[in-house]
Amino acid sequence: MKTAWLVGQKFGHFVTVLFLSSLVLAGLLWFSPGSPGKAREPVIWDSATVGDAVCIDATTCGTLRSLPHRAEGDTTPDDGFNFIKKFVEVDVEGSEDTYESGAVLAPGPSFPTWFFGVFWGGVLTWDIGPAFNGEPVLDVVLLGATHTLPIVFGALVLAVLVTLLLVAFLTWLPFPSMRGILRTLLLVLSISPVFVLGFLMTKAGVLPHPVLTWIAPVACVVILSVGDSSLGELLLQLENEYRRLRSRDYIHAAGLRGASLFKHMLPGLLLPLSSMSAAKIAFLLGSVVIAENIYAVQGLGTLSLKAATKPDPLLLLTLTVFITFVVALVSLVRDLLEIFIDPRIRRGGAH
Amino acid sequence: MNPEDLIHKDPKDEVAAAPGLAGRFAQGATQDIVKTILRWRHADVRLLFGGFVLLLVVAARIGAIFIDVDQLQTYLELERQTGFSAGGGFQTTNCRAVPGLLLGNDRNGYSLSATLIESTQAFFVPALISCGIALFFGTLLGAVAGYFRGGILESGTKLMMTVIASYPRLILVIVAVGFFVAYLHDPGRAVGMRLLLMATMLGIAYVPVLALAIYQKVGAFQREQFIEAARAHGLSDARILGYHILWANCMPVVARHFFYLFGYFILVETSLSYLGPEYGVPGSIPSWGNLLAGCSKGELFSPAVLAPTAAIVGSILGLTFLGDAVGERFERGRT
Repeated sequence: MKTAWLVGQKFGHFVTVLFLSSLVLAGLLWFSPGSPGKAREPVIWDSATVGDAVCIDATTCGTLRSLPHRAEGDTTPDDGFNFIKKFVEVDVEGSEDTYESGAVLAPGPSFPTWFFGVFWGGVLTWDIGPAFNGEPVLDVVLLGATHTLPIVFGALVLAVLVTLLLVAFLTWLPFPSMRGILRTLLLVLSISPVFVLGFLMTKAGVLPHPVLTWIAPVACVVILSVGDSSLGELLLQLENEYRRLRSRDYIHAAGLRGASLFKHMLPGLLLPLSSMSAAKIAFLLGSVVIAENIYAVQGLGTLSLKAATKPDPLLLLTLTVFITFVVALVSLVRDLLEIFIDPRIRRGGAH
Repeated sequence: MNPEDLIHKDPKDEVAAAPGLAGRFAQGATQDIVKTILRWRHADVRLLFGGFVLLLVVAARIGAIFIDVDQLQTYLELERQTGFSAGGGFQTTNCRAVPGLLLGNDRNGYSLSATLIESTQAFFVPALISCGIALFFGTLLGAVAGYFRGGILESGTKLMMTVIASYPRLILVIVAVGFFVAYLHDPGRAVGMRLLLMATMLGIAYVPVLALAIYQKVGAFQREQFIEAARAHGLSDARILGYHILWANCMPVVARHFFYLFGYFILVETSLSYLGPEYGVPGSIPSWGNLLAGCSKGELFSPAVLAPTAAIVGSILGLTFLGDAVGERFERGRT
């Protein structure tokens, strides 16, 4: 019962974080210069009626006082060959003026309509609308995710495996000064930004550019697993955890009994490892933007850049909420793992 | 142990027998220096290296005030004056070693060394703004959540921090800067606004990191006896939290994160500038990132490629080391 309650709490937290993060981001986009609430689309006059709200520019709106009509004295025959200008009267804050009908815009949606109706309604009905390239937004995001997620999780797995090997090697190394030098060299390599690593590897001919084969995602995995301090941070944290665990009495006792240290230390290392990995995912999902751009991989990172510059606020919101969903999901999995691995949490003794 | 060490020696005899400077060198003072250097802990070396890098960055920023890139001598002007010619067109005369210009020239033909110094303008003040935002809000929120535990203040702050931390920092900056710049009629003229936006977003994105560190620190100090004593003396919560915990005991944490964030800002600014003028600084403004991108077709072992790379990696490394060293040196003994 206690476990079920804890799991329910974690799910509730997951949903709350996801919703609040989408709300905050939607608010940020709403108050930016490219707010989706501004009027952009021309009015469709076939369905317009007098009294409708219309806008004369992106932010100035009023009430429609007449349907499109010709200017007084215009007798040009409307035989389909002549371009005839039509005009409408619009009342803006009590002052009625005449505007060209083609320049009058339909008002943008309100924030609740856009956020709850268009975005969340679209997510639930699986139809948010088209992206800048005409494809459905959700299809574009899912296609990008099929490229990006393997890269990010591949980089994480590679970084963790390399870190484990390095920790084993560093703890085995009998010379402390050598250990320090090696560790510092690894940190220097790891602290290099992803774009510098990608650039240098491309220049050195290690990873070719541009590449459209399987090498591109592999190159992304390699530079992501090392650069932006990914490897260095994992190495330092895991080494500290290893030393802390190694000094525990039960590990000493296991060593004296001749039992397998690996078997005894593994459960103790799993929890910090899962926490580190979960924290690293958000970081890797940020860095993947740079890596994908360097190697021309059409993943979520490249899409984010395109959506920001096109600009396509709905695609940008969907992309970022999807990325947040992945980050929150990984945290949820970590929390659930902790609940099932650590009996103290189930008993309420920790957290 | 050497048996001679067991014999009692009068310190006065040693002072009387102390040789002059020349004598000390003759007796192996160099060896003492080497021994001293070898005794240095990693934290000392990192502090020294980080401090040196910080000094270089600050000196470069001050030097950049006196440098105007438009006034710099381009390679073509130099070629006219000296008669030196490498042959080839304009493309081949850029991003290469040039006699008379330290480190050669950059993508536009200007002196690379001067442009590298000028490039510190792209990140120095924005990084300070970013650090200011992160340190103020991170410290405030972490302290309040850590001190007033068990209430809605703590849970609300923690939820807010989780929400902000769920966005990848780089994505948040790209969303804000890219989306803002896309609506400008002349993106090249809004450099200050763009850098300010980058600094603000990165500062906000970093708040949860510092808030969590301060939250844990304040929580740990709350159980200390001196805090109990301060409470028993009737000191106000504001004084205990502001002076006894934050000012007296959390400053090393704040300083450590200041240097981390400064380095991280350089990483983000150079990364975005490398990607293109739509995301980082415009192409007309020099940045280590766009200097590297501008010379991407140059040779690997040329100053035009190696110098910006060394500047980026060296400064991030130095600032990170400085943060680590400050943490190790000043936090020890406080916890």
